[in-house]
Amino acid sequence: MYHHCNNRHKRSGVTLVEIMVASAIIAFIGGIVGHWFFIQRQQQRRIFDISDAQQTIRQSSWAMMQELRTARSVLFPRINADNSIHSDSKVVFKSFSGDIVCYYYVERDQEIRRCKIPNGPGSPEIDPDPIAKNISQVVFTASDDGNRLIDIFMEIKGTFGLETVYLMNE
Amino acid sequence: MNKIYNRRGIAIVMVIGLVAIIVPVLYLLSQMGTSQTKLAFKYHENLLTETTAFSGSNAGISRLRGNLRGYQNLTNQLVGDESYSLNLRPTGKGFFQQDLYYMLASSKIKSHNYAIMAEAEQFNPEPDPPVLVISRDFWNTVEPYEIDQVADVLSMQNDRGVDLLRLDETRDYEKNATPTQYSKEIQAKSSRLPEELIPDWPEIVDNLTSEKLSM
Repeated sequence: MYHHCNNRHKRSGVTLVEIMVASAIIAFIGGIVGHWFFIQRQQQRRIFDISDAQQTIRQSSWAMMQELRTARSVLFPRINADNSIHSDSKVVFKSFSGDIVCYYYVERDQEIRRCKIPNGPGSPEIDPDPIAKNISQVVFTASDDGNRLIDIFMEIKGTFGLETVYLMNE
Repeated sequence: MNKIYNRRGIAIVMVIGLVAIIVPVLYLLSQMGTSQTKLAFKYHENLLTETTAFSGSNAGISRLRGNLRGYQNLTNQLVGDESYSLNLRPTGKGFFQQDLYYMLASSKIKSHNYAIMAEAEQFNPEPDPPVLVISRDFWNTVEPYEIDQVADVLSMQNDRGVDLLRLDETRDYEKNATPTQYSKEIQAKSSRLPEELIPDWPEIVDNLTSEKLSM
């Protein structure tokens, strides 16, 4: 009787080999699933980043284009003397009301800012809020000999945007 | 010796291990579902905002009512590339004899279909039906107006009038200053400019001076 009970007690335990085999299988499956899990999370984050970046690019381009479209003339950048295109990280133009407006890139803060310089008495005023944040680069390009066509190229962490605006006012 | 091994140990460890794997997997799947839901909500919010804004625009309703070309398939270029179409369904007259409509927006974005309804009303324009006027404004923008939209046109003119008054001031300033004086005064602002602008400021001042208006 004692012998029988002792045998049963022994059978209900877990041997080291059993634990090792189970652990190895679980580790193998866990490794595969974990890797897949990590990749999916990374992909999901990337999609959201791209979506946010596109939205920022559209909104900031739109804001700048609205003002540029009704501008009087572009003061900087202008095409070079040999008619080659001229690019810069800022654009300066005479706005519809005749004042001087500048959109410029602040590399330190990765921001696009707007500054208005009165064409007359008064001090330059920088807008308190930036036009866009987390911008990797922005390039304004003058590409026509009348200096009325400006390309706006923007990049946010590998997402790009390119817009062209034509000045309507003479 | 009893050679029958009890596999309960393996079973317990396997079950615990698999549960530990399945729980994160379920979490991941729920997260993927959540991200799709978030996108769907985003599109829904965009579309709802556009529809509500449009339903409050008297001129917009007139154009839809007139079935003007280009207003049946709009694209939201500000916050996305989603295109949508708007339609009006007349539902009767209001207390002040204004026309009442349901404005329906429909859109298909990826696998999502949206149909959004907003209520719109339009007071009887005079003359009725409104006369369509295609105008070319100061900005060279081609814009269709209707003759009953005088209030809209006036408010737009007032808004732009502020810019025109400021334009007069800047023009007067340019005309009344000599080129040297003008150049000197604009150049003097360089000390208060953002540092990104300072290196190119002399070139900008030269361009400004060369285009200065004179009496």
